[in-house]
Amino acid sequence: MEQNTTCRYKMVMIIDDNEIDRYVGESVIKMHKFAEAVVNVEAAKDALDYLIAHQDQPDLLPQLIFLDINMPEMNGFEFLEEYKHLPDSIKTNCIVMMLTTSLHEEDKQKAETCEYVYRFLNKPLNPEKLNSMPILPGCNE
Amino acid sequence: MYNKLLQRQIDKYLKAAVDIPADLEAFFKAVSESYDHYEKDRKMLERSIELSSQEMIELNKQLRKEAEENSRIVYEKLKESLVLLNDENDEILPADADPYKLFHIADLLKNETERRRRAEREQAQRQRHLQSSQRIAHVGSWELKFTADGEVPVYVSDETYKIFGIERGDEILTSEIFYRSMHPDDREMVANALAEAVKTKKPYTTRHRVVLPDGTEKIVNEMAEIVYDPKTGVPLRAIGTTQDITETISTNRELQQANNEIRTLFENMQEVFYSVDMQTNQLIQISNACEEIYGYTREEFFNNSNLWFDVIFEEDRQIVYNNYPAMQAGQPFTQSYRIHHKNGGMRWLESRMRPILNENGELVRLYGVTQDVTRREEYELALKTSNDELKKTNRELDKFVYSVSHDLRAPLSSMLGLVEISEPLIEHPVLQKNMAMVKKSIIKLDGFIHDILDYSRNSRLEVNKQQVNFGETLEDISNNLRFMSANEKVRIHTEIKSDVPFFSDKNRISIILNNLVSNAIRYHNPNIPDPFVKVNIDVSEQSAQIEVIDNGIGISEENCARVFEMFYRVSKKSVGSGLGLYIVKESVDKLGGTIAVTSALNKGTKFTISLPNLNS
Repeated sequence: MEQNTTCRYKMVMIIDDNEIDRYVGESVIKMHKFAEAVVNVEAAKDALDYLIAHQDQPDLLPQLIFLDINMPEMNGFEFLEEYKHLPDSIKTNCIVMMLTTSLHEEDKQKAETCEYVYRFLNKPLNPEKLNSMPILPGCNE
Repeated sequence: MYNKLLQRQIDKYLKAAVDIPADLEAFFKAVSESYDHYEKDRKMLERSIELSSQEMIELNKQLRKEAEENSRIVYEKLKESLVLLNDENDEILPADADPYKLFHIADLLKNETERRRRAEREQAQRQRHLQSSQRIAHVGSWELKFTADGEVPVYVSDETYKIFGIERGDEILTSEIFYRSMHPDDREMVANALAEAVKTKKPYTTRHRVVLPDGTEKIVNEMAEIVYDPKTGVPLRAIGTTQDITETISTNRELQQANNEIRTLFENMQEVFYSVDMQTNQLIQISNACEEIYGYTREEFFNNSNLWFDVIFEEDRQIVYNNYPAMQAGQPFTQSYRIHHKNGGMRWLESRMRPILNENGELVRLYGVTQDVTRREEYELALKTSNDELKKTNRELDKFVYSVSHDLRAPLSSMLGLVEISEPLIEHPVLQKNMAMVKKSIIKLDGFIHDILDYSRNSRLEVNKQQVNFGETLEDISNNLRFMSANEKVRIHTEIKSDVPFFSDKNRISIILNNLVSNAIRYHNPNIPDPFVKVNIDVSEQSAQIEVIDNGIGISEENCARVFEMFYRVSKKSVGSGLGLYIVKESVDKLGGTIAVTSALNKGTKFTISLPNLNS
């Protein structure tokens, strides 16, 4: 991939049931060369399946997950409950960002008390928000 | 403090714990004063009447007896001496009479004179004493002699003259005046009483009216004893007293009236008043309202001391037992329980009890006021039920608002995302301009939904008390506002003085500060080099004083007064929903605080907020 040296992240995962938001997210990330690869999943369950399936393949594991809250079947918080029990190989090199339209203060507080959640962001994803992401060590900016 | 007697009555019928209504206080004070006067008068009267009526008659008799005795002794002594003289000289004292005997007579006479003087002094003293006691008690004494021509006054005391309104010296109080002074309607009654007394040979007592020469009317009590000839039984003399009781009567009447008023008051109240002698467990008093509240008559309560307890629901009786220690300790208490009304229905009662201990700390008396609170209890129950329902509705509504706002905002943020990723790709200037307008509309609509959500939650949700860290809150706000278009130009200064923890509703404070700061950014003055907004916060034990100051475009004086109104927008330049400052004001109100604004056009605006520290 020709963008290899300029991307901040190797792999980013977007978990969102809304197709447009996934599209916008992926477009912004690609447009601003934020990550080399984006894994788009429309359900939290699919995300868990993906993570477990690739737990021994670090190259295919995301370093950053944008997680929506309001989703059918399994919502963002339920996902975080499951995520807790995943092997460390998955979690060690990964941070979770809540990305939602929720204005609920309780949602924000709940998200921020979770040890795996780095921050709580409101949609839509844009370059300013991407710039506020932490710079991962080992990433050649 | 009221008169003791009145206080007892109040305690008996009202409960002391009940505040006496202001409009009744003046009335009670007047009653109390008349009780005081009455007591003072009554004591003095009682003392004087005692003195006058009994002692005086005794005194009179004694004086008379003594005087008679004295005369008899002197007479005997003189007779004795004369007999002695006559022993030797038949009729006339001879020239050569024994000088010793003459001396003896002279001595005798001298002693007798001294004795008489002493007796006179004593009598004068007694007379003075009698006069003052008569004056104090308004009691006059007199003595009449029955003669063939009618009754003739033998002795009439000064006070008697005074009572009949006659100046001693001007006129002699004759029996004719006695009768004439009597109220015409009472004459027959008095005559009958006298006739009856003569017939039965008993003392007589009458109460009748006296009309004075100046026309005023008095009420007198007359008591008299009649002395009869021991042999013939013919009445000889009448010794009596006349007491002016006009004042007593009128005092009594006033007292009676006051008493009646209190009684009427108590009897017409809907509460049952009662008192119980706790040593004999006997009911002393109970007011008529018991018939309405319990369905049982006063007699039924008097006949069964335990009736009040027997009617209490069995499962509620523990409430009464629980208050037993308080009662024994003499502490007032209130208890509420259900009873079986005589008609079979249920009533909720509330009793306010006041136990009274004696000086040994023993429970002697219990005063109670019981009222029917059935309807109140029913209302409270209904209120609680509807309150619970309301709370449930509120929770559901909150959830609904939350979902709706989310579902409305979700497509908006998608649109915003699409616009933002499309913007850099558009080269046509018209399309660029249109895209910018689409973006502006989306942001405006999103802000509006935001405001409605804030408003809805502020008006319905309870104040959620927690510790507030103003530094963190302001940092969050600045972060959220970072993406506002004008933000790069407007600097935000914060100064926080906070040595003590501050407790309030974090969410609402965040809404308040967010609105004020974003307003300051939105309405900054583009024509000055250093637009700023300053947030000064000073926290104390009592409150947080917050100032949000900017050097923006300002608000005119007439608009300042209206900025907190719902949907009020200051000018054409206003871009918001007109809800922002309204929500700020509502939120400040919810937190129990105050907000004020001062502003000058083109100079800037200053909001001053004071929020109480909910640290207790």
